[in-house]
Amino acid sequence: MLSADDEDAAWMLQVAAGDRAAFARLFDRHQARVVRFCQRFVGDAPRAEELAQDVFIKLYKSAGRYQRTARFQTFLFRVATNTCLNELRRPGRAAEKVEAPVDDDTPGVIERTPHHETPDQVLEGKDVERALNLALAKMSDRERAAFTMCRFEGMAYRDIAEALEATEAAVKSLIHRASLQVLAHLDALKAGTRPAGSAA
Amino acid sequence: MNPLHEELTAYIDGELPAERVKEMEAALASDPTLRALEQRLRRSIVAVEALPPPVTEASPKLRRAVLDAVSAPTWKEKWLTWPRLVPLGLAVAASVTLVVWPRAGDDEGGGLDEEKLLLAQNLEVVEDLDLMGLDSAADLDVVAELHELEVTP
Repeated sequence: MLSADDEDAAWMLQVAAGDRAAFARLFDRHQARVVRFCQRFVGDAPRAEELAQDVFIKLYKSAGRYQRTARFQTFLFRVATNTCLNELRRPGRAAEKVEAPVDDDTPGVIERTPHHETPDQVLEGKDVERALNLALAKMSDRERAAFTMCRFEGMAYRDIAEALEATEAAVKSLIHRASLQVLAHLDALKAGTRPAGSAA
Repeated sequence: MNPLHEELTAYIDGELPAERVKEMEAALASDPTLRALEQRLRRSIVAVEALPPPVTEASPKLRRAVLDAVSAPTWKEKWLTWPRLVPLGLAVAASVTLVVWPRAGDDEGGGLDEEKLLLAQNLEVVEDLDLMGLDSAADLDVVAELHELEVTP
């Protein structure tokens, strides 16, 4: 039996040969994580869906360039990262930068509600979410990309390096700086202050 | 600052090679500041990773938009449909020529320009057929009789 990685790679090769059903299977398997990645990246759910759409269309168009030696996940996140970076670099977009959403009631996206949590735990989770969003908004684009792939997609530094076309040493540094930002915002939230150097 | 500070997150993530892990553990044992930072970082990472994902499923609208976009025929696929239109185009061109030729011959001195004009018109008809997407014998009959709709000045 094929592993999920091998199956992805096989499907991607089928997509390269024009098999749209294989593409639909890849979409169904990876759509949630791509939208989630884009949402963490741009801090806006409707925009994240638009970006995810671009990511998958680019993925389909670039299927011919995919080689089985590369992990599909890495290939996918390289496309996703480049799409998000290009979006943020577009004239007019740079000024908007990444917003730190506080209210999560966003239409168009189906969200999971943690039914098992007590009110105290929910409040704590909301605080962490808030600190995280503030920190994400303060990170550089590459720090945010590396941090998101590491913390929320569980990707290894080696794969993140490949997706970002960077060295592992660079990724190590990006993730460390990003993690320190999150820690500073969590500490500040607990203390009711702003982290040093933060305008948030 | 301890030079191992920069590698603290990689250590927590289990991304350091074995020899660096040993160095880090020795440093943590001897440096309370580094150890305190390591514990705070570890707790923050646990808290962040425990957050529920913001999206567990994209909207059905996204799926439809993506699959529709990749199902639209590419220019290559459109081009590949051309061969079946070529005989049709030639047939139409021939019928239009038969209708127009006698009148074109009546004009003096305008032979070459008239031919160019005719060719251009025929090519236009072929393009129109492609746009119309004709694909049945009944459609061909309609096209063959199109000249009957022409208005003679």
